[in-house]
Amino acid sequence: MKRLLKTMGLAITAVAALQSAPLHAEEFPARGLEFVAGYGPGGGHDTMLRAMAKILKEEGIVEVPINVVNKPGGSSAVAMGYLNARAGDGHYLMSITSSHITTPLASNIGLDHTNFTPIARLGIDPELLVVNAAGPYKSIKDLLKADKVLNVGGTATGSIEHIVSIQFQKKTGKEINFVPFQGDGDVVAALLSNQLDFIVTNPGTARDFIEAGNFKALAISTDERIDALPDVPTFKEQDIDITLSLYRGVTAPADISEEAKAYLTEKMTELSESEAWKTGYMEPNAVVGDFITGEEFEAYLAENEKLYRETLTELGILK
Amino acid sequence: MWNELLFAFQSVATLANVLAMGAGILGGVVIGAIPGMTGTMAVTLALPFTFYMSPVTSILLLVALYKGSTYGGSISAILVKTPGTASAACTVLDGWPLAQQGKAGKALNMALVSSCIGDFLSNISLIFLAAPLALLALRVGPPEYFMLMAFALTMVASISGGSLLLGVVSACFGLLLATVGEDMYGSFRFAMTEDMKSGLSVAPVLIGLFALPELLRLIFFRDDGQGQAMKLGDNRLTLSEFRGSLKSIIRGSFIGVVLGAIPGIGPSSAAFFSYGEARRASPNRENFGKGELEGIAASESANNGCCGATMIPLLALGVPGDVITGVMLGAFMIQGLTPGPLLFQNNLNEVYMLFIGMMFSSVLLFGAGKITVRFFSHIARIPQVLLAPIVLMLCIYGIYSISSSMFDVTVLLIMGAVGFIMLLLDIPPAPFLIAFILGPMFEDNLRRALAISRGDPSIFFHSVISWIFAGLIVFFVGLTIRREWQKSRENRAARNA
Repeated sequence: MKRLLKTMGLAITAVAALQSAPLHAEEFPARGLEFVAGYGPGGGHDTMLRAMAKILKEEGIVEVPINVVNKPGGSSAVAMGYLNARAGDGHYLMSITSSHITTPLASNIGLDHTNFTPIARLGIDPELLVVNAAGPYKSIKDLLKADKVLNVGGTATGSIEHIVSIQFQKKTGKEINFVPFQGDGDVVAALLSNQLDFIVTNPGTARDFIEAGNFKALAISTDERIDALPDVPTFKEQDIDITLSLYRGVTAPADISEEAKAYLTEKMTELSESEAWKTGYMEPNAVVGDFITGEEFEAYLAENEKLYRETLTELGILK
Repeated sequence: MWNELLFAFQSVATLANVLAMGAGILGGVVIGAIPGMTGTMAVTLALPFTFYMSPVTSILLLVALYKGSTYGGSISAILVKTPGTASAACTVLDGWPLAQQGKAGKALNMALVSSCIGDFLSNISLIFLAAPLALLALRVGPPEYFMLMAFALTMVASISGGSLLLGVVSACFGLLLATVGEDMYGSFRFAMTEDMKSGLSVAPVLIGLFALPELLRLIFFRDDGQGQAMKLGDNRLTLSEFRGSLKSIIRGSFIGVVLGAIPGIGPSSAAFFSYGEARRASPNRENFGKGELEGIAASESANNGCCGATMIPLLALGVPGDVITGVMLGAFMIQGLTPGPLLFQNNLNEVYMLFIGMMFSSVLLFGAGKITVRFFSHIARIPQVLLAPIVLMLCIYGIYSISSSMFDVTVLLIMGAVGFIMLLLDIPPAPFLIAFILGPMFEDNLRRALAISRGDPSIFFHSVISWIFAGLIVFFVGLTIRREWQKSRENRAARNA
């Protein structure tokens, strides 16, 4: 009898729990957050999300646990598919850069930036033209004078590094041969071992090697010189019209609740204003702060897509 | 340098550091020993906890997990024919036959001793040879990688078992399977589903090929004696057995250190490499693959010999060689230490503390190994019929838990069926696995080298390193052909007589 009562008690509790479930679902977050990196551990996406997770927790901005997962492959196509399968659930946040635009353009994955809820752009990440300091090239002029086709390294076909390289060829008339590598580390190693004439990469990857005297940056792809690398001239200064930067932002799955969207936007705003984020991520990685959210970010992405579509079509990468 | 090392010694010997390392090693050994749970998983799971530790403690914990799991993989490789991690796949070749002969304890002890020696030598070289080894890593570009991979593939001859032809067939299938997914120019191959776009992971292929066929064999062929447990009997490793394998241990450690210092090669290739070399040089050549202690010594010293050395390109160049060191790179960045050329200038103290801590961990590995060997060797007393379903469940659960992916489980089951067919046809699985692991690097570096030279194959003969490997390939292939020819002549003579 006692056992029967106990069972009944359990059953009642279970029913009660079921009934109260929808109530709980409205509270956001109902569980831990998951940050999705579309590239492997140690890359730009991964380190940003891990630094973000650490600072969000340490500064007490987010109370619930944060888990960073890597879904590498297909220049972020795999991660986009992963996030899309979780539409309606605001517990996911994916880091995005220009591949969020270029991958849907270049391959037929049936998804683009409009299939997600853009939360915030945290900053922009310029591209550098970098040579080995011990090599024969001391300036852009030396590169243009070289009596050979220049071997250029960067990550993935159709990446922003690729576009900058092709634009360089187009604007200067110097023929180049773009060699795609697996990740930033491999590109750096290949330049260190003199396999390539120059590489196109971010300041975050190259800065230590520049400071240590291994590498020399000959140009940067921003409108004006940046504070972190004041000695590096822009392409524009050298009469090569290339201004193209990577952006670093975060997006959530489609159709998430208003509460979830407001929560994520608020947390990202708090993050970007915190001193820990500025000194812990932005400055070390030479990311230029330029924070926008929600609709403004959505408009930026749409504009970005138009620009990429035009450039890639012009370059013959898109048909 | 000595002063800095001494100072580092004093500052690293804190309770927190020793506890972190002890827990890391022990946890790593256990996770490594569970089929399907890999070192990568251990390190990834532990990463969030390290955010709240001091930089040195957190890295030491991750390194300890890495080392522990690399050794731990050998435990299940020997006891249940299921390599706990990919780097222990080579240990199965001799470990499992030894366990069947009732020498599981002996094999486990040999694995532990060689792992610890390999690990220790790797740490020493990290301290004293970091600079020259980092330079070596820089000399290896796409053409050299390609030649190195081509040489590694000739090792198939050493791990083919009875028939070279079947070994080569097996390796070809491995290479073919490695092409699934995205290639370096961004086009997809055999991508029938969304999951297949990022290719197949090593863990489900590994477990599917090695563990499941054995379990299926138990189900289909109820051979005699499977209700009984294996005999434990002969447990101790004698001094003469150790001395007989010492050469292979030292050679294996050296191979591990050199290959570990080159980003991307990894402990599994090092283990197969070392095994092949040991077999070629050993007087007990014929016994390899049938339960030879020296085979375990070769493979285990090499895979742990990699652990310390993989830190060299990571620390000095900021280039991670595999997923585990990739996660560690993230851990360094989060702790405000940036691996790369400035690390040794700006954070020399932390670097030395890390080195000294890693030396400690070799000793801890021995202790943790001794404890777990005693515990795990009881598994050998469980009858196979009872053990098999438990292992099967662990495999499926472990594979699923790596990335919560049903696709991985599907791959596991399909590879299990493929492995079972291979078992019936006597096709060895080891060449398949090594070709599958090396395949992507083999292909990418071939294509990358030719992209740099714009199609000119002479790029493969520009450097000394390329020539060395080209010479080794010719030598090794020649040797294999000669041996096969002799074997067939002997067979013919035997038939005629």
